[in-house]
Amino acid sequence: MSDIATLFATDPLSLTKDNIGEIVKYYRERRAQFNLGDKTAGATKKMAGPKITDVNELLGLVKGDKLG
Amino acid sequence: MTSPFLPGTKIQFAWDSTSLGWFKECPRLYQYYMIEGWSPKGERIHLKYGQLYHSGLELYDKLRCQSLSHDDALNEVVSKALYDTWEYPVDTEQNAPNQLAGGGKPWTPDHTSKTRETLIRSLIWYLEQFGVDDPAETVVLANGKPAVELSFKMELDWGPAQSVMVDGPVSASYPGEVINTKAIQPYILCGHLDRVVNFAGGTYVMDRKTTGSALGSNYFDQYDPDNQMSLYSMAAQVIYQTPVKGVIIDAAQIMVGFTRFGRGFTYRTPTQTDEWLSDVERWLRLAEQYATEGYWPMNDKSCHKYGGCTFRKICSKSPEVRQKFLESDFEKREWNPLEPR
Repeated sequence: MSDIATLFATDPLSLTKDNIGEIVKYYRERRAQFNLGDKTAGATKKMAGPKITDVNELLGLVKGDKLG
Repeated sequence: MTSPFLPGTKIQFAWDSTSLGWFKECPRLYQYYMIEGWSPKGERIHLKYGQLYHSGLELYDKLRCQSLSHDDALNEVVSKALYDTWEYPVDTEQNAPNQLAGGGKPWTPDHTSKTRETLIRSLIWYLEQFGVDDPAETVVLANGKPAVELSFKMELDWGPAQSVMVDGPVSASYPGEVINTKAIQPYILCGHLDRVVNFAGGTYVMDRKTTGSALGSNYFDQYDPDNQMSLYSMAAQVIYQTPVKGVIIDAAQIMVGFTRFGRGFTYRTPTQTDEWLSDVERWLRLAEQYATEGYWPMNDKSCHKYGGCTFRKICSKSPEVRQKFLESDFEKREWNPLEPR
């Protein structure tokens, strides 16, 4: 199984029928993920998500608040 | 390539939905795009992406009509799209891409969502959704070929008033009718139909669109009424001598992370089509008048529609400096409705 990025970076005249099949298979799987609600499923590069640097921010707490 | 203008004039005799749409929207917009051939820098990507997308789906439709299986046809489409978006080194002697030399690199357009990867993904996802059991079946023409990517040229039974050549007959570098010693150039309506299909007992033109817009009712409502869809309905009806109910719009919303598809319908009755053509006669008469005067007025009520006209920043400048801004922000790319796809 080749990496999708490698397949895209290869001269198309060098790709085998199996290589093309791998690309189709990859996008079929991504489509299934999209249909389950993942709106980044079709991106070949990892898309940036929300950056969380502080667990308290995630919990909605302001720094300095005491738990409990 | 034959010019769409009467020789020595700015009177356009060959019209497609694009140029007619420009003229209807704003005569000055038409002047910049069609008469002077300006285009915003960076607009080529949308044209190229659309052509690649259409070309892939055209191949699929043709292969399926040759009884190839869905999987085999899909693989061929992907293979072709990969090849069409690979830039081989140019052989300077032949001035053409040299595939034998090896190397090259993938096409990398300067756009976030219209990329090589999203093109391949969109083709696969569209054909997975509509390819196998599409209730819309491609019409097979009398010559046995599938009705896909059909270019049409329809001569109307009238032409520009100035098209009568008293010294005729003219040498026919463009299609014309010769009457006695006078040659009359009729108006020609032309364009390209993506596909003609049978769907639920009716015949429709299918038009495929790529967009960044959401595919809600607002998106599909823009096609009723619509210049392009009316022309296509009429053209298919005239060319195939069969009643056409309207146009099926298969739209693809192309985003970085996904492609979503929507299918919409727009219908045209015969009287609606007649009315559209009757309106065209008046629009073309007006276009001839402006071309004769050499002046295309600005419709300043259109400048802010659809997110703003491409030429708004030009028209907002004082007339004496517009040319400099055009030369700086736009490039020349002449549009010719007679150019085959």
